[in-house]
Amino acid sequence: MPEQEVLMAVERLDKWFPVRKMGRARGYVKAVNDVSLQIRRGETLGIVGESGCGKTTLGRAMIRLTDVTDGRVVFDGQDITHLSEKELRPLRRDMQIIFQDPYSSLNPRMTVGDIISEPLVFQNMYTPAERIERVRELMDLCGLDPIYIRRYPHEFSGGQRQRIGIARAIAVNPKFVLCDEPVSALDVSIQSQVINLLMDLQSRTGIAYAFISHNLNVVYHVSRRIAVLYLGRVVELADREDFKTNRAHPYTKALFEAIPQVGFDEQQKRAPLTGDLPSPVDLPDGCVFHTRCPYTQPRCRTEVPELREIDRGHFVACHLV
Amino acid sequence: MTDKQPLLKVRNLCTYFYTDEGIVYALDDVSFDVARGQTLGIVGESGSGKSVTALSIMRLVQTPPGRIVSGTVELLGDDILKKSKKEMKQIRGGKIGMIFQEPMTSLNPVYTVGNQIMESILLHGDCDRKQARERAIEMLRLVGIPLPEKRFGEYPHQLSGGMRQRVMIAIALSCNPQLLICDEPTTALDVTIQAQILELINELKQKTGASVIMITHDLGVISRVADEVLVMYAGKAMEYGSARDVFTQPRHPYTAALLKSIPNLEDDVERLHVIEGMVPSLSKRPAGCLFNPRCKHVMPVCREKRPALTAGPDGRLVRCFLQSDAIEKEEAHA
Repeated sequence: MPEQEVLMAVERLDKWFPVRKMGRARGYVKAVNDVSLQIRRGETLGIVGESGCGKTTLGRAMIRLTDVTDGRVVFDGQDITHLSEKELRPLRRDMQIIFQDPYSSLNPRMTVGDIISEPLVFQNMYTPAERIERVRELMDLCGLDPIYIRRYPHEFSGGQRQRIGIARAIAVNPKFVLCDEPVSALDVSIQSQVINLLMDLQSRTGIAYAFISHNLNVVYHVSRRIAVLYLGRVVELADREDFKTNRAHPYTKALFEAIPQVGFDEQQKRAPLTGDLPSPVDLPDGCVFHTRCPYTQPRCRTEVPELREIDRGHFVACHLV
Repeated sequence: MTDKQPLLKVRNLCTYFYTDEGIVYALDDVSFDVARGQTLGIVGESGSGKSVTALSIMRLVQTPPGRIVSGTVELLGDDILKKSKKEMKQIRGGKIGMIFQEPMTSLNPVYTVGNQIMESILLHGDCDRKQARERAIEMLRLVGIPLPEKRFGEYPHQLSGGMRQRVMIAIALSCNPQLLICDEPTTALDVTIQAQILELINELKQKTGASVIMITHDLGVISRVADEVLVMYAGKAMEYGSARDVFTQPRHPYTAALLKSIPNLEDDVERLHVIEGMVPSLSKRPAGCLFNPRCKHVMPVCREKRPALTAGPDGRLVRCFLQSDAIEKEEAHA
């Protein structure tokens, strides 16, 4: 990948949380383990996985909402791994976030206008009069009627609130927006409205998204490339088309086959994955997936598989591929 | 929809909530049957009345503000809306088992899971504590929990989400119910765990011969498990028929639009189909067809008159003027 095309690069990133007992660290929750990936300008990288796989932690580490245990985060050519809060401040203009829950992520005591203009105030952009103009423009862009500028969040439905959250995120014209389960809390008929809005904004402004979701159908629809996480590790990373026809990792296959699809042509019974996710405090040795994998070999129990490129741009971490 | 007597026969069920802001028509004139050994899927968005349907059948609607205004719910010909509170206690968890969405909050955190399964067995069955204990362990084994003797003495927080939902299923099935109502049983679970639980419910249904009502907003789940499907919108049934027919050839514009609006791995589209607008408030419902403000095929008559739920030649019920001119009778309780 040419260097100037890469907007966000994560290199061998680790994020461990200490588990304390009696005030001393007795072990670590290894939420993110040796993850490397890149996001190009203007593209959407989907990050999927089940709960506890580290997808949210990875996202937060990317935009430095959390500290990093080891590894590097490079944003727009600049190493941001160890920047202080103060040094990060100007960079926040270029990286924003949309949260899952449109109810708790908006301050109930602020009007919509104040919510959307807050990042503009924070970044010292525009004069107060221009800000109001900009907020109206943003509301219009996100499908909200600007006459509601003085209303409070509780006066809006879930889908409209998510639109407010989106308007806030794009207010400062960021280059990168982390979308952390942006449609999971919404009704089916509202989800498609918000997904279309996000995609329209991208084609208009060229924002890059990291789109985190447990809903594979949604991720598949919005992404150009997809990373599948399992227990803090990337097990497969490829272009979206590969996930339709060329799934390589046994976990990816099981995950995609487990989604109930509407329709009856392809409803042949498949053996669902057995067992639960192992505890992230006590990760299995070798391949993290070997405890549930139907094809486990002796080697998988001892040796961690590296993420290897099996085809152009198609990376898999499995001994058997 | 079958000639034989159905297990559960719900007719003209209306459940309204009387609030300060007016009457909320949460469930308005809903009728359906559940045949023996069959699965009925009830699908709808939030506020469509699907959970209130379950609560009404179990007589668990909070009163006030809610009230079952009219209708009948017959379990093998016996109207359970006429039962006393005491009789209802025997039916709930006895003939009808229920699984709720959130396995974390529907289990009591201060009792062991074994204790909670035993509670239900002791309440409904004729047995002593020792037999109940054995039965509880047997149930844990049945729902696929490894080391059931050990798990018996554990507390809910020691189990994963999928395991907790299995415990809920064990409780619901412990008294051999004839009907199992599942309200969003897998919504809080991961997809690989969801596949396990759906498989388990199907398997147990075959083993025990129970009927299932599966309530969910996930059309994929419904199409995997349901024989028949009831599509609800704003408290009313919009379409009702065999799951295969409804999903492959939807007749109501709402069903069709809903099916088109979910992204799908098979049909790769550039832009998702959108249903504009939002679900109407149930206390200030639009005049005419409840779906008319969002419908792409709206006609003048849709804005004035309420369409009736009418049967097509194949028995499929649809509430739409595109299918039939029939107008719904005036609401008796408005």
